[in-house]
Amino acid sequence: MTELEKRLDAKIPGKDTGIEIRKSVCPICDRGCGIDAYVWDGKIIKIEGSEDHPVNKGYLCPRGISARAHIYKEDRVLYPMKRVGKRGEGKFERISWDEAYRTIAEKLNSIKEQYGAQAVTFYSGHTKWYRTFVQRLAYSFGTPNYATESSCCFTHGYMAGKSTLGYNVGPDMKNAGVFLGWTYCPHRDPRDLKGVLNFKKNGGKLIVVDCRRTQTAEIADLFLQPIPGTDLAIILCMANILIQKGWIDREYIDRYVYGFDKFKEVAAKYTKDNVEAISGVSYELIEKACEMIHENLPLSINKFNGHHINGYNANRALYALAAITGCYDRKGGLSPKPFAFQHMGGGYKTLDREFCEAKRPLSPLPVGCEDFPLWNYYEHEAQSISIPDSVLLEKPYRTRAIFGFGLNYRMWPNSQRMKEALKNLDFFVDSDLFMTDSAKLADIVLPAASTVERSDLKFYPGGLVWYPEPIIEPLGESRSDEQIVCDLANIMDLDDPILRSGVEATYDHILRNLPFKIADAKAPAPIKNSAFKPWVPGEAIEAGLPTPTKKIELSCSVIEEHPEWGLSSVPDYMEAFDPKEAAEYPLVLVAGARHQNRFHSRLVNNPWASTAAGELAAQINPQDAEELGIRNGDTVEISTRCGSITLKASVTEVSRRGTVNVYHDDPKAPANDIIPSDRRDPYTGFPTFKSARCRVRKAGQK
Amino acid sequence: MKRIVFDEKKCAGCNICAIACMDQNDYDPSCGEAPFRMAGRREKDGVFTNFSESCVHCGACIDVCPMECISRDPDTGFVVVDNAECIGCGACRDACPLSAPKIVDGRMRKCDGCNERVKAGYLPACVRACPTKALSFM
Repeated sequence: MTELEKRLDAKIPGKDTGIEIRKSVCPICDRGCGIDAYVWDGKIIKIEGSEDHPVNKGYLCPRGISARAHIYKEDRVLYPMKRVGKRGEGKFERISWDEAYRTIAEKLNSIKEQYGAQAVTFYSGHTKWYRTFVQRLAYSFGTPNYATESSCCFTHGYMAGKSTLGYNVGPDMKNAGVFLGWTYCPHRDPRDLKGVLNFKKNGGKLIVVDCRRTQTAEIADLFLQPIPGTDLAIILCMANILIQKGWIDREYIDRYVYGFDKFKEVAAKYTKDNVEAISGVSYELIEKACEMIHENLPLSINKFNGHHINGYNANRALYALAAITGCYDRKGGLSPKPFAFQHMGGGYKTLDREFCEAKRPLSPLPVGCEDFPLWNYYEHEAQSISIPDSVLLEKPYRTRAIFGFGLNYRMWPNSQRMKEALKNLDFFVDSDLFMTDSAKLADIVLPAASTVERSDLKFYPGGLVWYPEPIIEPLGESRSDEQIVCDLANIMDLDDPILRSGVEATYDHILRNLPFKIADAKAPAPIKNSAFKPWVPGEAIEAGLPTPTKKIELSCSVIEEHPEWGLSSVPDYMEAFDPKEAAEYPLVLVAGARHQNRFHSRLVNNPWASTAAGELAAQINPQDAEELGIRNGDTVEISTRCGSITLKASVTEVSRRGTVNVYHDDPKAPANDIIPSDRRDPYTGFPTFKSARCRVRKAGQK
Repeated sequence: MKRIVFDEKKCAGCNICAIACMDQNDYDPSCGEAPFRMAGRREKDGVFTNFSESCVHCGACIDVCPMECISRDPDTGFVVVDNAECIGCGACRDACPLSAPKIVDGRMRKCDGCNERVKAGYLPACVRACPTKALSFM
């Protein structure tokens, strides 16, 4: 090898090698970490975290580091495709963008004419970057049915924030004395470890509550390991202890809290006598946690993904703990984190919500909203988990077409039912990076571009904003999803001059209240937005919160006004499991812990992430395994009343006794297939991914 | 001379280092060999340990190679391979306590410590990517 060949082989940037470093954002999740892409001959040959990026400061996470294999994965959809075989068979032929757009416009318009616009649902999977555009497209088309994957992931926590505090909030860990980390695991993204290690070094006390014994649990000062789905009982018991012992901030409560007496009454039900039986955590340990909180205030808390029927209320109850100890909008407690754009914080506001609301059809109600009126009140979006009911049972009316952006039927509980629903549609379009099993069910598949092939508007803490330019040509004929939306608004001749004016003009419309234009954000690095206002502790509660009472609502006044909804205005524990199932299904299935090498289903088939992760197995507690005669590496069958999956067993102390953890979205052992779709949180419509009764046995045994 | 040093106490078992290595070396799992670096978390009798393992550049493979493909770079100290003459006999792998040499398409490849990167003033890819500084170059 010549010296130049060696340097090329080692991917050394330079004039001699022609390798150039270009800056973009990671394509895996919405955090928008900066990447340095080593580009040679128009292709990315290596990536690193950008050292000068304000969020990731040189590092990527275990998912982002696999991004190059994601961008160039062999099943990338490169051209618009039309299905020629049966649904799911995977037989497609390449068509032009013109033909794809024409077909979509004709089909959707004809369904609208025949059945009404509500028969068409526009759906967004993850990531979220283009959502405002899709939502506006849905509404301009005339359907109220805009739905997203957040229907079973993010929104329950957001709704908890809205109903208690008016918006999203976040922890101020740096200044906290004690941190209550509910399913808190920064080890999954070790860049976040620095914060918690510094916190501990400075004397902060860390309480971790998680049904899994994670690495973070091992560095905690106190670790509580509840039965999944029951954690609300623990939080209410904590509130009860704090109130009983007088470890609360009475003055703060009197001034800023609404509904304390009602909350106190409900919390009083969770005592020494019942909390251990419900949650599997001893009263003594809960009492100890309360002591630790009381002795180390201020208290900071993270919100968490409670993907079970008590998840929304558990998050509300956590916020209540911050409220009764006087720690919301206080240094070292919780701080207001209203979103700037979509689900991104920023310290100011864009007009994204107004942009969508301006066109939202007010009737009929979106799918799922009749059954979940609180969801409807806060979100006015279709509850995605109800889509199969709409397609298969015409409940409340029939959905006949879906325009999906990154739709994955394996996200749905009882996934096969959603698959069946997709098969029963009159028309299904999916825009995706990859020819997924869901895309294979579509009539038309559109090739979506990844972050490096397009621009992507990112908002960062501290008022920073960035709209990096594409750093490589789109693969094949792939296009940005936002471009697809604007193109279709034109082709369908929608009455929406803004969307029709194109992506950047639409952004300028959404950003028109801010002192910058989208073109300004096309900088080599994130720019500072002068509209940014840093958090001043106390300012928000003093000014009055955006709740109906302007106070922190421990009793939700919206629910109080609607007794017909049959919901408790104060977070109260609902039986996490159906006791009738206990005999046949003695264990609890947790399908939803996030593997460090995956983001939802993303990276499931990524060659590097999969190699690093190894074969994923069902995690079973050693004592349970012994009783069931299961050894490490055995093949086991996990069954619920919805069916069975078969996979390898990993006997591990990670799993709590009585629980089995299975990572979701694995096509070989699709855990969500066996999560019941009919057991849902009446407040949010969320299913029970993290607490379903199950039975485990060695495969082949009766 | 600097070496790639691993501090288990700082390791989060995240395997970023292993994937950064795959990215640097264009790892293709269909080659049938493990990547140069493997990392993660092991459990034995309820005790967990994090690991990040690769060639430690001990040089046990150098003298066993019949084709004299393997040498120690005098500038960096890394054990490097020029596999142009490699016959894929596997003697290097047999001699290696860690099975670090991989035979891909009949020729040996292994971690070279990102020798050329180091010479050009960059960190080895695994060290550069490690967010907890469990891997360092010192």
